[in-house]
Amino acid sequence: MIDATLVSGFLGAGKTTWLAEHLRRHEDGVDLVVVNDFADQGVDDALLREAAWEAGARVEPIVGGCLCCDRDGALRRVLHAEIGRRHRGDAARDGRVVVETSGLAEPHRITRMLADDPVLRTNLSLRSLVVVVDGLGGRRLLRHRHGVRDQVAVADRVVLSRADLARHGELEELAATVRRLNATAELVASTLGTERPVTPADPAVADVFDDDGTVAEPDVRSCRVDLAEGTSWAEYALWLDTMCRAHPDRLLRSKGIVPTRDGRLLVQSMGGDVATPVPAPPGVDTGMVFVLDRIDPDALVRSLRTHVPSAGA
Amino acid sequence: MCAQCRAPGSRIDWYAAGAPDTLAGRRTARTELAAVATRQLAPLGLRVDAHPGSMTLAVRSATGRTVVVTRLDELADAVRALTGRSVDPLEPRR
Repeated sequence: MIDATLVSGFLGAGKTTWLAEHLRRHEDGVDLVVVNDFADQGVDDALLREAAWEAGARVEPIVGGCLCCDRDGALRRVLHAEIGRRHRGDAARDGRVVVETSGLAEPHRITRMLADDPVLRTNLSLRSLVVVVDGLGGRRLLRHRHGVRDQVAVADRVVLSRADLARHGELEELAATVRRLNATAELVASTLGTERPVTPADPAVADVFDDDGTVAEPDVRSCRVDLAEGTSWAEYALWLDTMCRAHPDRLLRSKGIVPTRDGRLLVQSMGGDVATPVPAPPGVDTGMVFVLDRIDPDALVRSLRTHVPSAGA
Repeated sequence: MCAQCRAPGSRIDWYAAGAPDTLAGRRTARTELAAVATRQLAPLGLRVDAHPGSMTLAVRSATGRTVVVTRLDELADAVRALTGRSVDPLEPRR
């Protein structure tokens, strides 16, 4: 039998950070980590590789679409292969698999697929469905994106990330919003994967959920841009800041490496928010992946080339 | 932006976090930011100066009105205060 943990959450919620720490702390060991990126070229699998290696787990990237729809066949194949591998081998203990979905995935469709497939139903049990919610921007997403509410509604465990940056009472209010959507899930706050309990604010501050998913039809696309060595950090940072301010609902996510004159930086943005850049881990290709909603990728690339000329043609 | 939600934006000086953590590195990063911002904001009639010896940036309008900022993410508010406009990088440059 294989125990599976499904890790979901919107783009930039902090799934990979939480999962990397979870793998380091997991005493029972994990055999396989399946990492799904919506973009054609993933960044998460490269970032997870070190933590997975320390935990003795293999990493299987599935890129170019969501596990719940475009790439559900790929997930099925990977899980069938893992089941076959365990059947052929001399398994001393139950297998453990962690599946990290893309930020746009609908986890209930994956759980349905696990339940509907006769091989998976017999050999794999879903131990926990963890949904990571951005502790800072999560409340805005919950108010305005029904897809994020759907993710939270089916969770067994909700992790509120970036707890160190939250203001007084902010996480508790977010926890109350989550509790309104999911009455039974375990709630924890997390700082770089280190967890602590969080108690929902009582009484909860009212939220108006004003997006039923039909107001603006999403048109989500991704693109990758390679940045030249010696890209000016000032040019890229100013462009990213103005993009995130002008289009917080349309530049859903950016993640990748900026090869500045002073070193390679891992730079990420989530909607209107930019994370603290950190030195890039080795083994990650230079380039930036963008996930866009109702922005033409060509227009974005044109804008980047115009405002960040040092990034090269 | 919805009335329930705070304005999107960062709570950390992430631009400074990406620059070398030395006095010279911080100075160079500030000077480069001023030069790049001046180029970007020229169509709005604004100029950004980084005075030697100060760790702030001065955003100046053509009439001399000045707003002093300390972080990259404060630039956008300064531009709005001086011109009432904001920059959209997807709009073609004039």
